[in-house]
Amino acid sequence: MKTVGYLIGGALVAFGFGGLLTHAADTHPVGWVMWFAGFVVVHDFFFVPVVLALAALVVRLPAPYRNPVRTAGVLAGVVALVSVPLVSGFGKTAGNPSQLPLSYGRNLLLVLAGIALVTGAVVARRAWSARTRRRASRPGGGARG
Amino acid sequence: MVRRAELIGRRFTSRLHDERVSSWLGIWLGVSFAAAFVTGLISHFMQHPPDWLVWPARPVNLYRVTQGVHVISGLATVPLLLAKLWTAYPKLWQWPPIRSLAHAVKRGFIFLLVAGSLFELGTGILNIDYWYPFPFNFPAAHYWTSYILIGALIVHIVNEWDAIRRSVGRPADRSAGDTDGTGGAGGDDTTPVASGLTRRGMFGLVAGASGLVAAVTVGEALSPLARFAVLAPRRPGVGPQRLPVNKTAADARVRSAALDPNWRLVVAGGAARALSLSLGELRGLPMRTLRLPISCVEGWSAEAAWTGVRVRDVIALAGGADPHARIMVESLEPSGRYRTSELDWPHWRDPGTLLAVELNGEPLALDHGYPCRLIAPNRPGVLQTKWLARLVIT
Repeated sequence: MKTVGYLIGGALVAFGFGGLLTHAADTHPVGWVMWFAGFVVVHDFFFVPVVLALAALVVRLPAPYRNPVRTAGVLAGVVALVSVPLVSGFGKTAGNPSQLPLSYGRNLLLVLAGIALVTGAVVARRAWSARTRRRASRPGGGARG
Repeated sequence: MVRRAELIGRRFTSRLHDERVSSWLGIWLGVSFAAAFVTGLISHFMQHPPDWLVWPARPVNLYRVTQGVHVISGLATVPLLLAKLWTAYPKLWQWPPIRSLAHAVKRGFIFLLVAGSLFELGTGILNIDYWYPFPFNFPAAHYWTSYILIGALIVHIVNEWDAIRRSVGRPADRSAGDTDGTGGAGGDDTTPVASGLTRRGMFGLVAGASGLVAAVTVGEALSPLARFAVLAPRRPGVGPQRLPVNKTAADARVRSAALDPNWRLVVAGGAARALSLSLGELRGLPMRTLRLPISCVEGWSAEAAWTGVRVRDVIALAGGADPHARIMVESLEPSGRYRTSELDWPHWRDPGTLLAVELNGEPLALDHGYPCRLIAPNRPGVLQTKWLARLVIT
């Protein structure tokens, strides 16, 4: 059963490479290899280390705030990442205003601001409830006044 | 070096790198890639049908749905892939890097899987945003690489089958915990792990990120949600005559030919009576108005009201054609990959396939294909040939 899986998988991989090589005029194999491997290099040796460094900063925050900040960071990071080509505007063509018609830099900032706002509210609420809990547990804290 | 690699390996202590998390993310990623592969093949073979394959003209929105799913689910897969790669990242630093020939082959296929995944999503996103920094032709590279990705994925599933079954076959173990201390499959999904995020929390975070990406883009394909598509490369309703344009008349170098008052539509090839119609004569034939979508390969789609003459009526006027004939539709464009397109019999005989001369109640804008363009149901946008010159019955 395993062998069948390996055969099918291996055949598909071979078919893909075969197609890339037989359509070299379109697939530009040398450029293809650079991009194919390049994505891995950028991901493994740049993207992940940067994320790990940022994650290490989050751990320095007080415990109750870590998850909201982590969540916000992931959401903001992903939205920003997939919007890079839009915000850069490289795909705009003169004379075709319906292609990339929006103000993407502004829109991305609005989405990020929305994420920041919600995160700020969650953090503030946690800070507030932590403070009231501390007060309530202080000896005599609830009896004053 | 050995010591250093071991130390790096030991640093990834979070249980979020564990087998159960990795398996579930892998399953969802596998489902997503399978959907992308199938919808991608549909798109490829609609544009390049082999001789034996005849696509139906109905349902009208079939391609609109498959290609919308391909692009929007592709975008939503980005967080899923990044999370999956993150759970597997410590394995990149395993020591020794290669233990045997079999291990080397296994890691080679993992490289193909990781590189193929990043390549397909990365080039796909650049393509829908019309940014082409790479030297290859996008459709060709994206298409052939998909086989490498799916092949490597199948090999990976075979290799990880036992782990997948361990993770899926039974619910999360609420009592055992992480007994071996290595971050195995044990532990409750709701127990906070070292880094403070539970497994369930991580799944929720990935789903939330996917949902957010989909939310700010899906409106380019699902028009009622258009105003939420703040980070989509297209906005239905924005463009000449409230419809987006892919290729302009200037880009296609057809301006003067299209605006020529002596323009004529020629029906040639196997026609019993060769026809040559002026725009006035074409407009004198029975006209229909239909709502049909432009469904772009880049995932956006938008519906509009098209007015024109049925292709089958024009063919009948030219003396008819063999019921299984194909019709080559030629543009005024001097060159380009999409200068011509082919209408197979379900399409040219369909009452919804028009030689359109009006869009949303006005004569076609030049950028939408004036004086006359093809519009047909269930058909990729690039095959809705604009600035028509000839129909050739083959």
